[in-house]
Amino acid sequence: MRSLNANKNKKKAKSIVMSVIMWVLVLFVYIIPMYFVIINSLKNKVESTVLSIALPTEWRFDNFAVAFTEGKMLQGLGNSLFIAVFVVIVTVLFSALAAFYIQRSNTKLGNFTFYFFALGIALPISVITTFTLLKTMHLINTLIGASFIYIAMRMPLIVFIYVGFLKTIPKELDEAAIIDGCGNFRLFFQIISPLLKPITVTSIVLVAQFVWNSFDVILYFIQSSKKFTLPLSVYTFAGRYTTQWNLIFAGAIISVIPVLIVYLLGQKHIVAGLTSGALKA
Amino acid sequence: MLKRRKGAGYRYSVLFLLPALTIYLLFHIGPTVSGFYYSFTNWTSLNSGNIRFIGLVQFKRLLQLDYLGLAVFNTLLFTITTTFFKLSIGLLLALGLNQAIKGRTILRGIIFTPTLINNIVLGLIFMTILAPSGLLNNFLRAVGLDFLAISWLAESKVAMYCVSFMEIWKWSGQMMLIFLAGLQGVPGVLYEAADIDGASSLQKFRAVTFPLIRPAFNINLLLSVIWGIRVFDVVFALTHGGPGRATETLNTIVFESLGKGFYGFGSAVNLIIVVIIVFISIPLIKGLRRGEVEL
Repeated sequence: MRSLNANKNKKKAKSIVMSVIMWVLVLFVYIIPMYFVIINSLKNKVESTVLSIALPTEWRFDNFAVAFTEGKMLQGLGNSLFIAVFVVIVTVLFSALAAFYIQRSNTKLGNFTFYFFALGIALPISVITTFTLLKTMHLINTLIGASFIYIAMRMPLIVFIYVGFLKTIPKELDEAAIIDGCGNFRLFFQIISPLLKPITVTSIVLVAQFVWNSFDVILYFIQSSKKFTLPLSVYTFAGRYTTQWNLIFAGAIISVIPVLIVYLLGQKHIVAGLTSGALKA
Repeated sequence: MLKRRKGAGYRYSVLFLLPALTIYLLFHIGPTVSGFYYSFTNWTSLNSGNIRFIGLVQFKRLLQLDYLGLAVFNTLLFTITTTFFKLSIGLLLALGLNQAIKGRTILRGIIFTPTLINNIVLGLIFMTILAPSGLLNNFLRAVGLDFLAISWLAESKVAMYCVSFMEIWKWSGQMMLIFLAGLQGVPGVLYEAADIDGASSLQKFRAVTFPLIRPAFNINLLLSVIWGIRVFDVVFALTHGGPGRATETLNTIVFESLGKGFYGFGSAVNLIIVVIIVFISIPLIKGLRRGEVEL
């Protein structure tokens, strides 16, 4: 009995030590830099030029309003949301459909397209020819054009993880539904798609994260600043207000909020989705 | 009612495949393949109507580029350093946060947050952290390491490591998440069995944990290497290829040639990047597959 207790205490002590180590590590590597950005976004112009982690003498919450209006961030936010929503919907829907065919059909075409899509995970886009393609399609400098590039870039990975997840859904389900006279589309949308929820949430987070991250697509294919996404509005704004770190940081924080919300909403499912999807393909 | 034979009677409609395949072919594969062709032409922004096949001239031009060696070196340096550190830090974080730790959900959230910050914005933040009197140097001076407080982004020998550092800081959380997903799949009974056999922590890691998270490890490794060779946006965001040309990579050369209108030349560089990726990833995939075990 005593040795069991001692063992328990030892385990408890070990877990406390681990907790402390992890928290200290995260404090220095992640929390302090983030705190540095947040605290400086609330300082006045003079104090923010010092780049210290001291508390501000006056709290300037209006920095956020100034950055938002002066940086024309409403426009950027609108463009970002348009691209993100469009890309997420198209990518997730079409990838799920394609993965369903690939995993279920058991045909040569299905097999071939699986590897064909897998290739796309590795291939970089060819910037120059894509530029001329969009130009001939009159899609250069349009949000739709940029969106299709994002979709084409991210679809391979999403198809891949959907195929992995579909393996965990028994094919007998399809057969039962088919015997009941269920058509292709009803089978997918009524029976299969509800079961895909964890991987769909994971995919939404991954696609949203990708769109929010890759400014290079905008840099290559959008020239007019009216069509810039939020991060590029912040960048242009930073160019005009070079040393006003308080305003620049406020803009930086604004630019993270939308995708942070998506992550927080999906957080619960994302590990479960990755477990069954990405790792079983 | 007719009974369908198993597997043979039902056809999954090809219509499911078509939308994804069309977009992928048109916007990804199409430009890539035509890019291969244009690599062998004299295409510039000025002669679009009169493009001629000129063989390997663009590739010869690339070989003569005086900072090609540096760009290749930087690309490889970035790929190796970021892959190594993202994977090892991600794995250590995952192992730590897979334990019973106070507030581990919050910790995971905090570590993952950097992956949601756009690189161009992150570049602005890191400029202030790495500035001569920025956050990092203030910290170093405070703990008495004044000699280390250099102007990080202005030193041509150090700047590329700063770019790698930013990438590692940002993406280790993503690696952690995938490793955590892998760790969820390791059944607890295996550890109990190992405990009964009196295995040490290290032995448990090598014999139980690592083989079972191998798929997660392989995916992280592959994505990290491929991403590394394609590196462009972190460089653009933090150093713009500078100081001088100190942080040029293969993909920044492509970007520059797009701007200058050297389309044939840029396509040729892109082709080289594709070839490098194919040559590195195919053996990597084959070698990695062999190490995977199934439960």
